[in-house]
This record gives sequence, C-alpha cells and structure tokens, in this order.
Amino acid sequence: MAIRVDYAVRETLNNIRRQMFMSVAVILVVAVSLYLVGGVLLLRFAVNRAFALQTANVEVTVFLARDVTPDLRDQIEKDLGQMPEVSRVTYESKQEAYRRFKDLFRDRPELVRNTSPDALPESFRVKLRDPKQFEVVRDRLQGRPGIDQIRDERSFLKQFFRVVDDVGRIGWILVGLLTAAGALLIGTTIRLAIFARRREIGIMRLVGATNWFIRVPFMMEGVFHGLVGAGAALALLIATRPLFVKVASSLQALQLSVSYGDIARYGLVLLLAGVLIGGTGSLFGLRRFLDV
Amino acid sequence: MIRTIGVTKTYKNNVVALRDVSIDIQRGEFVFLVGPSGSGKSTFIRLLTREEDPTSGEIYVAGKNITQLAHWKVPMLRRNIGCVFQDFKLLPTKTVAENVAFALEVIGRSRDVIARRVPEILELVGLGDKMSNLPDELSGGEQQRVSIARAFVNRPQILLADEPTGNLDPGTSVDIMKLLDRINRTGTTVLMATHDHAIVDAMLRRVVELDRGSVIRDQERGVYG
Repeated sequence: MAIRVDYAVRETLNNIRRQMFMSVAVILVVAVSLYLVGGVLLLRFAVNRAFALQTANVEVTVFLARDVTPDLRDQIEKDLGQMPEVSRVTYESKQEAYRRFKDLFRDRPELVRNTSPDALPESFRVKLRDPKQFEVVRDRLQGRPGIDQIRDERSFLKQFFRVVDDVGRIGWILVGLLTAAGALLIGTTIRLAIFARRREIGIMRLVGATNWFIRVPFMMEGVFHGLVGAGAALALLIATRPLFVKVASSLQALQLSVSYGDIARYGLVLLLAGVLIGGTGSLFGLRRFLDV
Repeated sequence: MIRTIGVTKTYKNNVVALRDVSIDIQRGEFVFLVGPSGSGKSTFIRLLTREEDPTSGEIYVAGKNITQLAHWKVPMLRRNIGCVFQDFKLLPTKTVAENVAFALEVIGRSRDVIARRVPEILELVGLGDKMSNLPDELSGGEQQRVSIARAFVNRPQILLADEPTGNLDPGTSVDIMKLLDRINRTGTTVLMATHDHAIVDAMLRRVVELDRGSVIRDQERGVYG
C-alpha cells in the first residue's frame, strides 16, 4: 500500500506550521553547525590546495652562499641535474627572488621598501622524483662550498600548516557537538509533535494505519529541517566569503584562496549532511515509536 | 470469525486478566460480553486487535492465527476490525466528515472513495446534516454515531464495541443499539462488551459472561443474568 504523497506533504507542512518557533530554532542550530562544517571543510581544502600548489614545483630549495662564484654555481647546478633523485632544477636569481618577495608581501610595502634585491639569496629550486628522498639529496650537498642552506620545503610548509590543522581540529570538535545538538533537537521536536498528536496517532493505529504511514510525515519533517538548515548554511557561506578571503589573505605566505566555486563544491556535501542530520535526528525521535 | 483457544493473559504485576478463555464466534453473530468491571472484557477486546499479546493460548480472527502475526501485518488485521469505545475517541479539531474521512485517509484510500463513502455512511447513521459540525457541537449519542460511522466506513468484517453506551442515557442507548443491530444485519460480526442490563435483556442475543477472567456462562439468546 503506497502512501499518498499529497497526504504526507500536507501532514509534514502542518506539523511544521504547528511548531513554528521550534522549527525555526531547529533550522538555526542546523544552519550554524553546518556553516561551521562548511567553513572547516573549505579552509582544509584551501590549505591542502595551497600545500599542493607550493610543493608542486619545488620540494627542495638550495640557497647559495653570498660569495658564490659563477663557476661554483654552474658546477652545483650540473651536479644537481645529474642526481638520479632529482627531476628538475630551476635557478632563481636575486632579481627573481625579489620579484617573488614583492608579490608575497604586497600588503606590507614598508617591508618591501626596506629590502633590496641584493639582500635576497640566489637559489636552486629542485623538484624531486620522490619527495621523501630529501635527506639523500641534502646529505650529498651538505657542506659543499658555495651552498648556504638546504631547505625541505615540505617540512617547512608543514610547520605552517600544522597550526592551521590544530585550529581545524578544534573546529571539528565544535562541529561534532553542534551537529549532535542539531540532530537531538530535531529528535526532540519530533517527540513533542508526536506527544501533541498522540490522540490522532492512537486513532490512526486503531483504524489500521501502517507504522510507516504514521512515521513518514515526521521523518520528512526532520529531513526538511535538516535540508533548510543546510541551505541556510550554504547561503551564509556564500554571503561571508569575503570574510574567508580576508582570513586567508592574512596568512599571505600560504597563498590561501577560497572561491565561490570552492563553496559550491561543498554545497552538495552540506545538503547531504543536512539530510543526514535530519534523518538520524528523526529516527532518534521515532525510536520508541519504531516498535508497534 | 473469532475463535480463542485457552487464552490466558497475565499482566506484569501478576494480575490475571483472562484465564483459559475459549470462545468461538461465527460469522454474522451478535455477541454480548458481560461481567463486572475488571472481569476481563476490555482485555479480551484488546487481544483481538493485537493491542496486547496473550500470555498463552491461541487467537484466530477471520481464519488467521493472530498470535503469530508479524508486527508489520497488524495494521492489516485492524483494517478488518472496526472499533467503538465508550469515550468515542473523536478528534476535536476535525469536523464529523473529516473524522470519518480520516479513517480512510490513513489507510491510503483514494480521494474519490473518500468523497463517496463518507457522506454515504454518515447518511446511514443519521448524521447527513451534521457533516460539517465539530464533535463538541454534537450530543453524546450523535458523537457515538460518528465513531460508529468511522468504525464501519471501511466495511470491516468485525465490529468490536467496548461499552459503547457507557456514557449515554437509556433512550440514546437504544438508538445506538438499533444502529449496531442494523450493522450486524449487513453480515458484520459484532462483539459488544457491556454491563448495561436493560440492553442485553432487550436484545436477547448470545451472551458470554466473564467473571474474574473466566468464562462462567455462554448462552444463546441470553439475558444479563
């Protein structure tokens, strides 16, 4: 026996109308928690992308000593190029380093003004076949004349990103708590609705309504709340993108970015999460109701 | 139509509500279930709709052993049984017509069927002109007729009535009994729990008497005793 769709929809809307304030509260909680989920996801995504971008071409930077001679420099480049672990070597002059420096600190003109191109070191930017082989390369070059410092860009960046990760972890805990609160609130709302309509439900059972018939409108209510909350969270994310961009640009060195496309990418995830919260919440609310 | 074999029901607090009850009710019969309060009448009715499970014994309704019925099939059982109660169990926010329609709606009947059957059945119980009234605007007798209409609108094979005249005055009770009698004559099996002497004596139907959970009398064309 199929449930008539118009009946289920009408019942769901009636339920929601009857508990307007409760519905709004539920939707707000879901919206806030999913907004945070979205925020954390977006930042994580941005961080991972920044990391991938910055290590795509360079895994090791070999800074040259200030007094390096052109001969020595050429020799180092040649040796690097011949190492089996190395896939590509790019030379960066003082001028190029300065250009990158200017771009990186374009928000801090006083820093740029006080730095001359000569203050920045020349370097070889090295891409490895296998990023894990950094130590082999370093050990081979360490202590050679003309080389000032050898830096593993990945581990250098990782230190930066670790901070972001810690922030993210706190975010996840918050998100977990809020999501649970949302689901529990949805469940409680449904319990209240069931209690308010216990006479009606009693009669439904009496005349032979199936349990699913009785449950479906309540479940739809939960899913509706979850979905609307997720929609609100998504709208909020889009509306507050400038804020994310600002946060991202304050960590200039990491070259983070958050585009509307990135938000859209997580839109579906958020909506799905909304449905999931609503569904599990209503199942929790209907739990005692699941057996006849 | 209804058959119980050695049915015993013991509640958790060790109160024995029914003790080894075996009753056989044929299709189309009209049976009074009598006895003082607490003799097990209501428990017996609740067992037939699977609102309770017996502690032991077997219960057959419409040829099916309902003690072994899967949970999800219970609604189907209830669709074959109309129920009428002392307190009517009407929804106060719905009109008379809506109350009756509700019973069809929740078992998934189409709008056409509902639009046709609801006025038909309300006409039958004599409330054709009160369809859009709320239950509060009706007398007790009229409210009980609405609840009978709701119980019967799906044409169940069995009608169970638990003290249907308990809240009504004698005159009104007679009207309700006439209605139940009419329903019975359509072939519906009627089982009515009551302790209304006058009604049982006037109807002269089969009487099953319970006392502290046991059947102490089963008599064709009986009186209250």
